[in-house]
Amino acid sequence: MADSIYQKLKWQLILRLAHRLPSCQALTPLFSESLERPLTFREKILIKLHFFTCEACRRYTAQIEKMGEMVKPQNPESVETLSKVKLSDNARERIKAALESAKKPY
Amino acid sequence: MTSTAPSDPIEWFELYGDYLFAFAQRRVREQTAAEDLVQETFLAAIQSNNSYAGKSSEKTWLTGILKHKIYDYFKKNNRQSDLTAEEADLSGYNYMFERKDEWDGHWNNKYAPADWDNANPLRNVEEGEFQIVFGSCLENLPERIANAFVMREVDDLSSAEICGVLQISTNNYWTMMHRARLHLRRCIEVNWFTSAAPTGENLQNG
Repeated sequence: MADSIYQKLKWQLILRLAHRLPSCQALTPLFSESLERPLTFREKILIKLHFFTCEACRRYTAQIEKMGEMVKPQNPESVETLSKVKLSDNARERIKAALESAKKPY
Repeated sequence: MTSTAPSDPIEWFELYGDYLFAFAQRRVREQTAAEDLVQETFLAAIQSNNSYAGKSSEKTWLTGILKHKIYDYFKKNNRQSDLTAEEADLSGYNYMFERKDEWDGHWNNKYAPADWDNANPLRNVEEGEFQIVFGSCLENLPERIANAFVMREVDDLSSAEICGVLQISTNNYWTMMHRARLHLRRCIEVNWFTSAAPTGENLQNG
């Protein structure tokens, strides 16, 4: 039972600490910057402490990194085949005409 | 007509025109500008026919030309170096961190990042439908911010190169990337992953 009181106190302390540290919203820019530049020692500690109590921000950081992998076309063909974006008939004719006149007669 | 070196630009255009246009349109929203860039790409290809020595596929070669045309276009069109008030405005994302308890500023449980590892994509992964979702999520960002993200994550440009192309400071670049990630992560979660919410709440479009 003494154990559980100790545990409770421990969590009280951790939560109190977490409360005094920057919020998730305040730290999200830093999570993004961690993918852009080396963080300072202070920033690293701040993030470590926050991650300790915040699963959501651990996920957030892992997911914005994963997103970078996801958006790279695995297969360049895929963008092409599924794309609903196509040249209009007008543009098609215009560009063809421009290419025809640019073509040098051999 | 030889099959090894199809040097007829009209043939190239029939083969790759739509692809290059889709590529341009993802980066340049203004339609006529995207069309012009495609045209310039083929014209440049005709002129530098010799420089194509079959080192890469024609498509890769043409895409490379187009990419540089697009970056030049960005450079020409990005004269102001600061973020506009609209671009810097992150208040549209406050809702993710609004709480009624003393933890205001921390994730609202409803919008906190869901467990992607145990979530299934809503659509067909094999058909690459992710690119459609990604494309429409990009469209909800200001154009320069979408461009910064695409150059960084899709085109693999360095931050210095992106800052040069968009004529922005490094700090502005970081702000742009932060906004892009905050928006895209949520948008992709809602539109790509299903049963991503562990509590089963009804996800709405962020």
